[in-house]
Amino acid sequence: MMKSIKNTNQSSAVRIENQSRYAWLLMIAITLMTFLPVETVSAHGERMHSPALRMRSIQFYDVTWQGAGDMKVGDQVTMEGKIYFPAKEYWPNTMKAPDVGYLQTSGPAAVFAKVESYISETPMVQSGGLKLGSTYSFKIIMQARIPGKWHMHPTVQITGSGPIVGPGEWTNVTGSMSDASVSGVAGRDKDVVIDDLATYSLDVIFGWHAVWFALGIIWLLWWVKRPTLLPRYRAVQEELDKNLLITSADKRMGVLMLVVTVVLVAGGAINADSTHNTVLPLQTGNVPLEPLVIEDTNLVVKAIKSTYNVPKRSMSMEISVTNNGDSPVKVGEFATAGIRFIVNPASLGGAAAQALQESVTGYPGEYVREVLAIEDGNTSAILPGESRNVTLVAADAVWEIQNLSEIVLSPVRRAGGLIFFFDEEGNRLRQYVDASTDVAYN
Amino acid sequence: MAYSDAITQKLNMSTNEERTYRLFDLIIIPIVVVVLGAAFHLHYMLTAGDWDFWVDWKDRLYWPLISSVSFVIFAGAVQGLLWRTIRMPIGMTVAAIGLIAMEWISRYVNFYEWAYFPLSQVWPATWIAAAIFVDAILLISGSFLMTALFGAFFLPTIFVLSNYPMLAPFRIPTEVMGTEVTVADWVGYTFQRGGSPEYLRIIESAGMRVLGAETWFISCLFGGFLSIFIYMMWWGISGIAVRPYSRANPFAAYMGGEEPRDDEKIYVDEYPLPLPNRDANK
Repeated sequence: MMKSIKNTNQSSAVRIENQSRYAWLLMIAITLMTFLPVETVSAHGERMHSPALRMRSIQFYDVTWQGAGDMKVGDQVTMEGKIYFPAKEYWPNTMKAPDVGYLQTSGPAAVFAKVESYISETPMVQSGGLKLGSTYSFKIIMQARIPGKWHMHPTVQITGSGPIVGPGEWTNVTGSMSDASVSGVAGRDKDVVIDDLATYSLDVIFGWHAVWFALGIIWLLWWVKRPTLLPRYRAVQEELDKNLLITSADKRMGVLMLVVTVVLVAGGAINADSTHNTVLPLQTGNVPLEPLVIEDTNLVVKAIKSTYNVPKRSMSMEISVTNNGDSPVKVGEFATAGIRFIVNPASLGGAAAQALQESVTGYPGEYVREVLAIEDGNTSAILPGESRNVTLVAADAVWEIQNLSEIVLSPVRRAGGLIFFFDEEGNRLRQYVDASTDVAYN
Repeated sequence: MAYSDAITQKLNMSTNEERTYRLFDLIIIPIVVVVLGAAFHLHYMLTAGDWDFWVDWKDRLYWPLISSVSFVIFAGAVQGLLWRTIRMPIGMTVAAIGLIAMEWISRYVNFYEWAYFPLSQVWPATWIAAAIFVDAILLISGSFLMTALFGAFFLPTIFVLSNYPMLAPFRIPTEVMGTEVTVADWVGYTFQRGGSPEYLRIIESAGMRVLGAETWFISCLFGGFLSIFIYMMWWGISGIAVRPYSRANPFAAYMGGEEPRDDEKIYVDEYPLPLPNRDANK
């Protein structure tokens, strides 16, 4: 019995006659909304990491950017600085230990080419083993490729955890993308000259893709040159003579395509093998990294507690300091998440003031805040043998700007950071502190 | 054209009818290639994505294995579908051409123009040679089983060998800061991805399970072995897909539709559909 096919899957939620006459206006409005001007996004999420992780994991300090700012395509910027990994007892338990880490930058895609990178002078072509409680120096040389205004951060990737982003600096690159090139030599005898790594071997790639596209299209055209879909569907359904569907000419063509394909594949591979006499697998593995030797400061510093005051946008941290050294010291800086809160250098006086001033020279102004104060106003030096409780206060809008104020909503309400003390000779003494954070709303 | 004449004449088609069908081909075939290519591209990028995106992920161990398993799922189904419905051994080639065309569009527009990755880093591997090979085996053998054994099995081998001329220049050694790496490693080092450390690349490493230097061979062998079964499975699934049937939509009344009458429903056991010429041609 013949049956007609009827679509019974009427999925329209509203009968056509019930639809609003103005529905088309809504569709036009929605379409036009896609053309609304949008704010350009220049960042890459560095402020969206948990504040507790940014303040309590890797501490970047003494970071400098040589060559940043106005640049031309092909110019290089060198980022240098130090990274401190807090000791195991302070390291966030939500992050894995940096047994395997990698140095790179965070920025918007491949707008810069990485030319060189080192941790403690070891080339970082591959990953390396890092230790908690250690300090390393780093250096990254980047070459501008793409014109534009780019923000660039040194970053340490940690296996199992992800990237920890350091402080960033702006670059304004002008020129033409075509001026960018990374060149070098390759091959067993260094006889292959690479003029530009970005266009290296593209002629071979385009050539082979063209060959296979051409062959594939010939194969398809052979079949679709005849009436294809409905006549053949009917022929299959009606069980026509199968020699009409696949003819002997078709089979001869199939054999020809098979032979041509196999010959081209084998010939191409054999030729490539003989042309490139030494071929390696991709290289992996990690390299050992030696931490810097940091002299003992003879200071015993412990954080007692910290409080973030929401309306005042200030973080206060009470610490106890015992000076076991032989020089009086003063607090000069509290650095966390790449933000450097410093005291008025004049309050340190002499060589210490100069040392503090020099340490922040060249650091992005948005990250250097001269707001650090001592709550009771006692700015006198902590003398050798003296123990004193000091409450540091850093009040600044940067807590909000950098999203560190989100600590009030964090499942981990703890703050950490580096405190830098200065002695009279201008020596800088670094200590890491970590404390739970209360929140004050008035 | 002799072929079209033979089939259309046997079907008692008029010239007008044949011309209409030809027009239908010209409209539908390009759409099918683009839609299949886009869908295949989505599937392939989600399953074999990084191995195909980056030149320093195209390793000896995982790249042939994962790529061929991912490819044969979709391409095998398309081949089965076209063979069953119109008896044309071009399914894999259609899928491969659609896939590679979409990949090139994506690599150029998204990776190169938008994110500034150079094409030397993000060129796609080709599948067309392997697809033609398997299609030709199907045509010559006319057998799904023979195609699985002698076609699908060699998919990873043909895939690797057909891409080797493009890959080999990136596998020669070079020295970066005193360390010998391949040019592909150097490319990956120079043009940084969001997460480009080498430990994030899922590639062959010098583990205890890597025996000797026969990684290509072992990977292609195992990839071919897997491809046989995945090919057979998806060829079978495509068989379900080509069977046109409908069932009553129980929610039709709630959505403004009407419940179908019993005599309007088409059930699976009525396949193949009754056609007027069937009896006449038998």
